[in-house]
Amino acid sequence: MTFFQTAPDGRDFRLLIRPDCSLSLRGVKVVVLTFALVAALIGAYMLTLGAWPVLPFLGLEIAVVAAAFLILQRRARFYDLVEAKGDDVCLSQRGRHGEKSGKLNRYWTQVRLAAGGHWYPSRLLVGSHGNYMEIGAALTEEDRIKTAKALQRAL
Amino acid sequence: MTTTVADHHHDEVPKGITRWLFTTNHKDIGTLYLWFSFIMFLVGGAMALVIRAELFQPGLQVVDPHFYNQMVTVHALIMIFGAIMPGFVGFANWMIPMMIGAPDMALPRMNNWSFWLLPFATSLLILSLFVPGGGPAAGWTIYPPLSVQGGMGVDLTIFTIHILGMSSILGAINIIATIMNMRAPGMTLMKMPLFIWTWVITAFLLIAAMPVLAGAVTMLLTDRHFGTAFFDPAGGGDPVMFQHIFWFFGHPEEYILILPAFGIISQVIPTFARKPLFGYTSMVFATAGIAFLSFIVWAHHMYTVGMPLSGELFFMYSTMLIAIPTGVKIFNWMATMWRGSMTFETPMLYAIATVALFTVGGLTGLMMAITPADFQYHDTYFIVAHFHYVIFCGSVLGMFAGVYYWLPKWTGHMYDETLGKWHFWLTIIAFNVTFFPQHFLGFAGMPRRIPDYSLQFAEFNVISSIGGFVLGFSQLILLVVVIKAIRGGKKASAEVWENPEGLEWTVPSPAPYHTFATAPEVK
Repeated sequence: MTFFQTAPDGRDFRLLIRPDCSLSLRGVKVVVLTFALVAALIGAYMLTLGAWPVLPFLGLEIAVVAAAFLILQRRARFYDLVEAKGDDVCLSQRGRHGEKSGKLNRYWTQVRLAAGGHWYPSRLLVGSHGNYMEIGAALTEEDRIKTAKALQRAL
Repeated sequence: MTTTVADHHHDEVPKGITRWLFTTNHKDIGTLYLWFSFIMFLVGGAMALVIRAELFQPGLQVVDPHFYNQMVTVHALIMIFGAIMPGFVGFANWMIPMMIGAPDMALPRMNNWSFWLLPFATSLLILSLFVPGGGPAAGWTIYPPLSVQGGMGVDLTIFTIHILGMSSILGAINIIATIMNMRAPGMTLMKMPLFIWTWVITAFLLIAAMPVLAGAVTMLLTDRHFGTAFFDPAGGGDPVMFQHIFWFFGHPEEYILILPAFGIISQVIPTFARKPLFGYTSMVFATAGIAFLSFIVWAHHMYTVGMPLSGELFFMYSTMLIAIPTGVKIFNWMATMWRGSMTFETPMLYAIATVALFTVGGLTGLMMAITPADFQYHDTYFIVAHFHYVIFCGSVLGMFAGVYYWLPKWTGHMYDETLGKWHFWLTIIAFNVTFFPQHFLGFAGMPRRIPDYSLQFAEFNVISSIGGFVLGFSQLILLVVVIKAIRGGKKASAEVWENPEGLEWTVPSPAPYHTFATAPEVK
């Protein structure tokens, strides 16, 4: 999801890109614990029957459920931020490999949308003098193209 | 400042086989699921025709009894795990992101994997028919001791069930994660369309029930090959335990097959009645109530195994309780139609038929809930008639309603209404000709899963077989309708129908490859 704000003068702007996430961390805990509780109840009943081979499947499945939601929660904390103030363009990013930031001169800043080959998605790159940072990896293809054009216009 | 934007078309769709093999797009994967489901529907249907050909007359005419039993078993497994479940996952893939305003599913790569497990799994199942000893012949419930004694085909079936289960669980996790995590701003839980609600609950049932099946078939496998005796009384085991475990999965599975269809018709009926859905909140709670009850009624499938009286009574009363939330739903659909400005396009005809004929199946279900009466019906053709009224009329007709309802959104073209109505009337008439007489056969005592029968059952079986063949070949009309709509026809507008509710109708028809570039605001 993109949040694009421009200053009243129309020159400075702030572009924040975040992955969709409508579930809070508390919500994730509630969902995963609910699944775990139901699995525990089913597992307990199966144990009373003597059907213990059901348990590893229940456990494995709850682990996958938890992993899926944790991946999404981790992804929800990722962001790409592009802020233009005066002649500076500040980039900051939190992604899979930690936090990164940098400052560019607005007049030298380039926005590149590298088309993806075959079935691969495109890559939105912002930078100058041969150093680029990829932003918008969490967006859909169409969203990324629109964001690239919006950034192009704003710069 | 220099800006370079590489040349790129907005709705460029990747071409060729790689598009389908490696796609992570929810619409592509939805399309794959729906075509796979339809192909399996035809394969399973062909097996049903072998069954009906054999039962056309008393005596053994077409196939030998062992192959007949394989057909009965594999028909059911293919229809349940290959046709109906993937069909609804196809609907989920196509419609859930569009209905909640999300760009795609939450875990797109996992989505691709969930689909591509299916063809391998069903290939194993079909392959089992050609191995020494033939395919599984113990019925879809694969009860021991018969399944423990079967040939290599049973092993292939066990692996099939494992892989299909894995696919279903991954699909269910993806659906839950998508609905919980990727709703558009303002789309609170109680604003979600009912189709979304029914899928949340279905996914919950899948996640709860599938590991139980996985455990059950693993125990079968170890009993067959690793010297365990879970189900062998000679080693201290109990074959009835398998029935308990199987139906602990099996009854929620029935609601896994039906709830998404309830969701679909809850979208269709308000559109063609031109009224909002009556009792939205009660529909949500009724669906949740059905899901809860589905976990405490399993032993009504096994009244005759010799349970204590208290157990029989508990399962009888809890089963009868299901009529309450189901009745709430049926009442609400009828109240939605009441004094509505109704028109009867094909999706609405299918939705009405779903309500009416599913109710017939529901009422025969109530008859079977009564323990002493069930002792008479158990394992007769009455059961076959009952579950076909429930599964075909509930799930499959509901799915047909959804196909006709959303086909213009998927293809960008209106379908052929005349052919749609031919498909509807032939299906409904042929279905009733096939399965209504089976109630009488069951009452008269004809057992299920037999290739030959007493002469007294001949007339109803002739009628049933004629109906079965008409029903089977009528489904080719749907294929023609879909292909015609894909190839061309009248252009569909974004709304398609008159003021339909839902975010999916705010995007153009056909829906663009990537739906919502910026998340829509839900008021």
